[in-house]
Amino acid sequence: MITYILRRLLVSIPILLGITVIVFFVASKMPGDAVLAMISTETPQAEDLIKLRRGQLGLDLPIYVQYFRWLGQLLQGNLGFSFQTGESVIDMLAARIPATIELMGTALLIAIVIGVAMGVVSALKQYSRIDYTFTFLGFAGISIPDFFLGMILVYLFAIEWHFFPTSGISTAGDAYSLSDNLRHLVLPAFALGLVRTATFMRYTRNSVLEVMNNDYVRTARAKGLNEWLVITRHILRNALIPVVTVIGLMLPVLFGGSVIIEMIFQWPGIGLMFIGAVTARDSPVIMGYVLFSAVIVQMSNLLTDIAYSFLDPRIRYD
Amino acid sequence: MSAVTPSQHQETEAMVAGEGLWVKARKRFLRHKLALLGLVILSAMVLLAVLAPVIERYSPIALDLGSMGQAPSGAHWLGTDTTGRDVWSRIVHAGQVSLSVGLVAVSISTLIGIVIGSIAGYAAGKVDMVLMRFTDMVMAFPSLVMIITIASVLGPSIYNTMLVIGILTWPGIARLVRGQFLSFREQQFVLAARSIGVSPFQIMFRHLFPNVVGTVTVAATFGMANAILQEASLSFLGLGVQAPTPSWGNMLQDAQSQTILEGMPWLWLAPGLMIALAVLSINFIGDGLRDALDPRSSL
Repeated sequence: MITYILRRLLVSIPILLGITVIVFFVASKMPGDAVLAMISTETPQAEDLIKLRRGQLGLDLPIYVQYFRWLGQLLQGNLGFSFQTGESVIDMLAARIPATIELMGTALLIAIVIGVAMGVVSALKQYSRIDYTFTFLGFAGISIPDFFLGMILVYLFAIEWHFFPTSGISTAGDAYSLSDNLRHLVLPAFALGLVRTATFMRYTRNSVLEVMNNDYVRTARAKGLNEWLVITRHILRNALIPVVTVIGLMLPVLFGGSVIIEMIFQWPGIGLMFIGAVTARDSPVIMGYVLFSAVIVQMSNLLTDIAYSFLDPRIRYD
Repeated sequence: MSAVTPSQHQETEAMVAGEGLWVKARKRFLRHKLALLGLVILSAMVLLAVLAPVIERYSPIALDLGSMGQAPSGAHWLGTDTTGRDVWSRIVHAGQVSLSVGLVAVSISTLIGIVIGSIAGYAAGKVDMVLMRFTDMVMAFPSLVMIITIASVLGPSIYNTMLVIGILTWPGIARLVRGQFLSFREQQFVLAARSIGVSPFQIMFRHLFPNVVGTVTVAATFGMANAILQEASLSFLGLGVQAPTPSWGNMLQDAQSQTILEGMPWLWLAPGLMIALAVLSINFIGDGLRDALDPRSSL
């Protein structure tokens, strides 16, 4: 087990390095650089100044030297500084991560709870009307763009009925209160989460159907066990293990979705920061975000694998 | 989801002896009601898109400041936008753009996926390991995030949108093809071909590839649904198809302000529903194809 985890960790090192190479390569192709952002071409002797500054920053060195210098900085926790504000990218990320975790976490919870519940009901009542309805809803879920769902939710619940605010994370000017924050959270979290319930539903349904036909379930029923206990103890306990892996699959999709949802709802997380940076061509911030999201996805895959091996002792890794 | 389809629990129907694979597949597909529905809706949408220049009632691009922000009426079936352009005409033209971006993007990604997957699966060993680690790296990036980033490097345009979505969404198909090739490469028909000196390319193309056509077709169909969603997201953010060319995504982008959301719902409902309808039909077709071509898979 421990060797498995260690080996899994070792394998992810070259992948993480590869990720940094790709990020660096893309960044080097980005229009505009740190020097041009700092020095206006209107300045007298701009060309000399730019040359001088490039030399100081090492931008005239061969690209691979630049990469290793950048990687060295990265390993010391330095992701560079925003072209726009001069703020450190690490600090910018750190300040906005809690808001994104709040949004993505809630959306994930919504997707899991609704998706798993629908999947279980669907499987237990296979080929019933409710099964077909849920399957149809699942198809509709994966087909609606999350931003369109967001617009519908805003139109219905914020504009027509005033249940929830249209955007932001809290009412501007008011002192922070949890209930105010949660009221702001409802619409973006549902817009992001609802369209992802279908994936959980599909996996849960398949997994439950597979487990339901096992001998031990038949035995449990045959010995007269209460149906509820058969479902919860014998079926669900085994059927929900593979669903854990879906969380790992879901994370990259949630990152992409949260960018758009944060923009629509002006939710001040890292996704909104990323879109702002893309519009302003602020490449250190863009790269900081891309690198961060890729590393988190990689880590979560690792954690999913490890969690899976704990949850399902039948799986042997050697 | 395939397991729910009406076809599967009636699998017992007798097949006529000697029926070809494709005949069987077509029969299975035609029994899938949702897939047929999807096919009908999608064909209608394709027809509208192709005939756009004929059925447009006004120019989709020219401004008409005399008729700004009109609600749907006899003259403008789906109303007009804030610059007086007819929404119906824009919707059908946008269909042309959005559907072709989806089709081209998925063709690019399928091609890359097949090439990388075939080489990795046929060569196995070190080549396979290197290619798969590379695939892992590409997969590590949340695809929409990377699509947005690279689109901003290349600059927004309709061709870059196709290209970016295509070059970032191939890993799924590559892994699929590679897995199948690995499982087939030691089988006797391949060994036989190799022993009589058939070239590797011929083996890959003539002997191995026909075995994965079904699986790849299914994956590519779902990939197309996904590509249309990605294009919509990208254009919605202003990084995809650029004005004045309409796409369903950038029509939604124009409708983000609260005044439009509240006062002119026809401006955002129509393109949003078109995206959902197109993607839904393609997903239904994909589900039907899965039943028809790849009946063993459960997901």
